[in-house]
Amino acid sequence: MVTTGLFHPSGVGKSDPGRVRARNEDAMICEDELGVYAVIDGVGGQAAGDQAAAIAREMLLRRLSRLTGTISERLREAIAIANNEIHRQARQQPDRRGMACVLTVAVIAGGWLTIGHVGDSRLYLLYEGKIEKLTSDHSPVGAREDEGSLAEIEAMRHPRRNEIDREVGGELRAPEDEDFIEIIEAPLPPDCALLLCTDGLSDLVTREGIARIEARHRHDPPRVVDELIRAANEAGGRDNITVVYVTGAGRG
Amino acid sequence: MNMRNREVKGREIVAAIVGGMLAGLEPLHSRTLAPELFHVYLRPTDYERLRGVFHELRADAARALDERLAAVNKASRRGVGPMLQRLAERLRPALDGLPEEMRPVLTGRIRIEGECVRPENGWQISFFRNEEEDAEPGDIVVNVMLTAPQRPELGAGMSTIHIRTLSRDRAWRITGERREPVEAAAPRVTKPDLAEAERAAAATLRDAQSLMRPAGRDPLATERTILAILRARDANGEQRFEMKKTAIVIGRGGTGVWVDWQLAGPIEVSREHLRIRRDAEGNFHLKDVSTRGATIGGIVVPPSMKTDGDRRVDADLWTPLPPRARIGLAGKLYIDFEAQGAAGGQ
Repeated sequence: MVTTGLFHPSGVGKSDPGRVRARNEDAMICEDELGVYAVIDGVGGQAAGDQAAAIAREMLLRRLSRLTGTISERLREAIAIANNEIHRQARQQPDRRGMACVLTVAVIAGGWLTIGHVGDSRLYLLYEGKIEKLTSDHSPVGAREDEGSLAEIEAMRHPRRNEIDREVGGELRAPEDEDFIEIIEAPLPPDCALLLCTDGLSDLVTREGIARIEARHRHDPPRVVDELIRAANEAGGRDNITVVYVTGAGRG
Repeated sequence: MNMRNREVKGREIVAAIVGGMLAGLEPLHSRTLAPELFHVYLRPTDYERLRGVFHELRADAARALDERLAAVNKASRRGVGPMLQRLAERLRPALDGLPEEMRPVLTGRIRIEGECVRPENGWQISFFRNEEEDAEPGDIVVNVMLTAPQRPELGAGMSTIHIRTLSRDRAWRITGERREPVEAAAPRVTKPDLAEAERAAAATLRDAQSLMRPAGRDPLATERTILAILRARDANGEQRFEMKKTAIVIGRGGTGVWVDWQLAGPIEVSREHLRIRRDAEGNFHLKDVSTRGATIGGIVVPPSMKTDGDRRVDADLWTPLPPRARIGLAGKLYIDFEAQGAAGGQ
């Protein structure tokens, strides 16, 4: 199965409620066989954030396990299906009203990475000792950080940090809708690694901190995930923390 | 149960519209805005029966809305409390002659802040056929919307209220659902930008309209040029689809499957059967992603799905689709495809 020179993914992921929240409204996907990885952060105020995340997870897996269409078409359709299903259930069930989620999904095939992204969870690419955020943050504060008018540490402390301006489930959507799904494509060098995380990590651990932990433990991927979650918890753990770490064959 | 076969009366529609207006009042700091847009969805039989008098119905409803708004203002000037229940009392004359159990029961509270303002452009009332499968005799669905220019500050948080007046269970109920921004995500980007508010209003409208359509139809369809028209006869009868985006998916649909045009075909038709796209030059192409195959003019299309170990992968194989063509799905269902406009070769 392993093709020399191509990034053949192997992922490990973990989700932790953090230190403040009683519930974990995050979900994740870590499917080496499909080459599909995702972090999903449920929002919804009351009880339904975890439901939204669970629906998104199921719909993503259903659509992405059928290999019709191009990868970006699949990703767009999968996210639109998840969106409309969350919206439908929120409309039908009063206790689920207003539920939604944000998500970052990565599909890896043939040495290529395709990302479908809505919201403020993140995907980092780690290579040659560097860390690069490939996703943009669909949030007012994140957008300012992305354009450089706000330093990372200022953004992390910003009181409006939690606001998002895109979400999955808020209104009916079509796959090609503008201002909805961000698709990012990139070739993957065989010796790189990917890190997908919800804002429970990136709001509390700087990217330099993430890179340091990754560099220290990269020979032991489950440890990378554990240490990142531990760092977020030591910094307060004020939100659910979900981390999916994906390495290519031969890395270490 | 006689309720099962009942027709809706014009008066009930007017009452539902008025109820929708009351539920849709939007209090600001110094005044309260009344909604401007009323989309009334009627079952096809009611729609056909009443379509000749929509004009009268619209005029009558506008009169009733004006009267009701005046009553609300009078009541609030007199300091009669904010209870919607009181307003329901004032609504009673409009419902004279209706059986008690059919009078809308308005519940909940609204607070009137200052004068209720009539929409600048008047009341916009439109009638639509309710194609929802579960629409029952007597159902009136009224979607009530504030319009963009009145609430530019609200951006994506624009509220829509779906007033559903149902005849089920022998009692009328008005169930309002108010769409609010998600709590955790509430303070979105809310620039005082008219274009953005218009987009939000369009999204709200799209949302409301898509509720009335079969799943999978392009919610943005009406805003775009028709690239092609597709017709088929499926298990539900004659179907027509306007292709208004450059790539579409056709099939039986189902959970976890995106289709732009959902056909109620026999089981041989795949849940996702084929994809059609139009290239930049205006030529159309078809990709067969089904398990039972597709034809163009009776000739088998090479399937795009190839077996790779235990998986079926998409080889992204497209076949030219002539401007006019008969497309066969598993030899069980046929689509008449017709490209539109100059680019389509007409």
